[in-house]
Amino acid sequence: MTKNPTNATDAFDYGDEVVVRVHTSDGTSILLRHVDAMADARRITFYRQVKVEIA
Amino acid sequence: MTERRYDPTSGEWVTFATHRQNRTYKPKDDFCPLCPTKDESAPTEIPSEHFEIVTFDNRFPAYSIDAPVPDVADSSFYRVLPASGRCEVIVYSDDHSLTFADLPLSRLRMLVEVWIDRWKILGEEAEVSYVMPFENKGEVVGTTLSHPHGQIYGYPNVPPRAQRELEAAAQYLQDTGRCVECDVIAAELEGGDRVIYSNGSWLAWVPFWARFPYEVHVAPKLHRPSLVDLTMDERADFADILSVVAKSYDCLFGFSLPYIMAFHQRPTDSAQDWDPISHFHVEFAPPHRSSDKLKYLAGSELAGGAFITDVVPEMAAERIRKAGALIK
Ligand SMILES: [Zn+2]
Ligand SMILES: [Zn+2]
Ligand SMILES: [Zn+2]
Repeated sequence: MTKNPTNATDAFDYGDEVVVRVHTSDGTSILLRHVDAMADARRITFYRQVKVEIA
Repeated sequence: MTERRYDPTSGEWVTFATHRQNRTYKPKDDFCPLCPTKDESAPTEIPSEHFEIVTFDNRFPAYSIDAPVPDVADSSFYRVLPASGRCEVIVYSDDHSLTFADLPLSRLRMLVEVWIDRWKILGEEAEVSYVMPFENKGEVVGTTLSHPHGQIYGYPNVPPRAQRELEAAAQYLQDTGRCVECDVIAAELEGGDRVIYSNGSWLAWVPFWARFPYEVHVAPKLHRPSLVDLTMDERADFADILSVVAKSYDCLFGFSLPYIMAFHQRPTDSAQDWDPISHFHVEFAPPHRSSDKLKYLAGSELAGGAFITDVVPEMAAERIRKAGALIK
């Protein structure tokens, strides 16, 4: 994770996931997006939320 | 056959998606296509054992990015266009037993961010002019799957109801210099008898003109054209108020209340400056008029477009407020 995630206002690479947004006022909840293809070429997008500790 | 045909007598587009005739209708209880895939030999739509929120392209889309060429020829009188756009399913949880009202606040807060992300992603598609997240909940509104989920349509044109609202708002702005939704919110806050819940930045109320007996609208108190314009505090308050409205509904008649929930907001095309006339809001339309009676759209509503309702909005608001007091 970046040193100061509250600056992560827009998408940047996080492995095969992309950070969408830091979205709590204390900057501890981050939304991650991972796009994949389904068997019939449809698009599927997984979202997950991670908590980070800020020093 | 998938295409859009224009009705010159009403000025509206009608979409044909005949492949939808074959779509899943209430599969057996032991197979849900929106559940996580636990067994590789019986894959669901979602190839993962666990997930939080997932969106994917509808298997039977009314609108798609690679929409086929229409079956009939276009003419200057009978206009026909490809049904371009996007139709996504959004699954709120991997827990089949939940409903929208059961989602914890942290998940609803995350859902708000996902809606915002999808609004941006779909809205950036050249073919998409209007992004509308919505949820059809319950068998009586035709929902084929009970797993907690909604849909997000990226329409190629502003849909007629949203279009009429924008036109009325534009006229009101021209006449008064103000946003009509801002004035509605001010009037409801002042009167109070139709308000069902209010938090720091949002209001939920039964409209003065409610078309459905227990219709509820939810909007930010300040002028915000779309989801993306909400501040962080407003997003948290939005999750809170959606939770309260959904839970209140479930306490109204003592069962999980079916409804149609839809978002109205700024179109995503640049046909004009939408910001002054678009005030983000959510409309909940439950079809029940009592615990055991449904409101059917019939002659007056469907043929005349004139809604006739047998529940007084102020009474409906009082009942929903009382139901809200029962939330555990
Ligand atoms: Zn399920
Ligand atoms: Zn406004
Ligand atoms: Zn509306």
